Amino acid sequence: MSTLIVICISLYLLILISIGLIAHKKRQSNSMKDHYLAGGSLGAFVLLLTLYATQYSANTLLVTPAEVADKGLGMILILGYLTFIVISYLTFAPQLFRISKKRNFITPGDWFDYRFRLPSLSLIANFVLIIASLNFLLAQLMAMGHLVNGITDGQIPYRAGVIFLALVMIVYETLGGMRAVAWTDVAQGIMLFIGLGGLFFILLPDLEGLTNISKWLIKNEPQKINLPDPNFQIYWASTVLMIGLGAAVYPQAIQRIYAARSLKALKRSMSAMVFMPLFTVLILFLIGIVSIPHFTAIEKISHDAVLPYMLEYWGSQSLLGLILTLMVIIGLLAAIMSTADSVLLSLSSIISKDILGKTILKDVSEEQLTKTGKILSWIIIWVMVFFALNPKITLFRTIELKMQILIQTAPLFLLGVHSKKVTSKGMLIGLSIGFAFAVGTFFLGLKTIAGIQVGLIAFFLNVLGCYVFSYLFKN
Amino acid sequence: MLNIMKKTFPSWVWITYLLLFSLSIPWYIPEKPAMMLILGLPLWVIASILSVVITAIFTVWIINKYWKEK
Repeated sequence: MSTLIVICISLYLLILISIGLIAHKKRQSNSMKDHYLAGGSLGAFVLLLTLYATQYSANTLLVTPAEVADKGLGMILILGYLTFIVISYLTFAPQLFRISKKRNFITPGDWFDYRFRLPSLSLIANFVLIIASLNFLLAQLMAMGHLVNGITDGQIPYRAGVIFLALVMIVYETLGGMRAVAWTDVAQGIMLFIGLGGLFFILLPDLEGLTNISKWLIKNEPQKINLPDPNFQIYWASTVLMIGLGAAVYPQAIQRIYAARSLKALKRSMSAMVFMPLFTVLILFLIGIVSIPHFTAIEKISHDAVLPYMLEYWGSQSLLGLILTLMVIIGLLAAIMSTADSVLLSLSSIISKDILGKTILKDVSEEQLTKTGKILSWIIIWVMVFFALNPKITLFRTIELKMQILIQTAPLFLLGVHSKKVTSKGMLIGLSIGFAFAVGTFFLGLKTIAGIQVGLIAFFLNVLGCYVFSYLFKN
Repeated sequence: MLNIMKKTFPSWVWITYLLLFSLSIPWYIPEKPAMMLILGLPLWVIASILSVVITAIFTVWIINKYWKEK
């Protein structure tokens, strides 16, 4: 089976390069808007699938079954936070979409500049977004390596997987920019959706089996199925809030709001997006439950490898299982790559436009800035590949570190569109307090305080600081 | 600036979300009935999934009812 998977992966990568070439030919100009936002022309269908593919990354797809198998059914909280992300969008997307079309926004920094008009605030907020995005990119690169290594039974080693997939990704992204990224997202989104849907139907008729697994858990591993205790419920609530708010302000998510062709397209994609956790996470959740008895028999398997292992198991059971498994595998790989390329595209836009474009490249043309962004993408990807080849932390911990920081920029959007009382200086001090608290607690090794995610506590301190100092500076 | 700050959704929408969020965490289900198996899963898991389903339907409804071109 692993040789068949290698052939399918090779074919898929060829398709990606071809999409990159077609997107390159379809470009309208060498402007930043064309390269980074596909000219602001994405319709509802492409927008939905690019949002879906970007949001459902290695973190979601590999971590969900792994966390369920490891920690138990309480990890249904992942369903909650992915749904909460869409609701968080609704708190600022209507206003942000309106103004982004009027003012031709390209990066999140354009909003910071327009709303707050304080260069130091924009600089720090961009710095936070860059740090969080680099971390996210690293997680995707590591996931690529783990996935290809797991599903090809070691035929493609982790290091070779990371390097080769990163190379393919950077080639098609440089060629086609956002257009290539969005189009590859459509292909992978459909594949992932059909594959996971098919697996669901393989799992669904086996209700008796699921009941038996639940009964087995009650008897053998009750801590994985019992009603979560109040401490875990506090952790649950704070995790949903932290990741729900944090993930909504990913730079690549913000840029997809800008890239929508019309309000109708944005509304339609959001309406469908809110159901995606149910169609995706629920299936991954069931895969995690079903895998628990398997992993009791097999000792010491890396938890990030739960999904690849289960897919290989189902693939060997029947021809239909094999076809669906292949679709999910390619879909998974594509989901990881599409998240990574979106993050990379956002990173290069922020660094070239908001950092270099305002300092050392202040006087260069937009075309030159776009070119600089493409070169930056190559530099960023290879630096991150170097780090990915030396992994030191598990995936889930990486998500939490990223979110602790990322959520600190949420007030710039949430309060920025809703509160007239908030001043630029207040926002700057609030952000500094939140960021310092999040980073400080991370280095102290604190994940939670009284069961609450420290990132969320930092966020509340950020908002409090923002209001207090806005009031003080106003007076 | 004031124009872009114009509210899209009424306040009660956010209160409803708060309520749905609190229902998605099974703090309100007593321990014994919580472990009753429905569709192969404990009741507390089903309750959490159900609250997410209601949240999704509610979201589609408010997007279509209140989010208009200004």
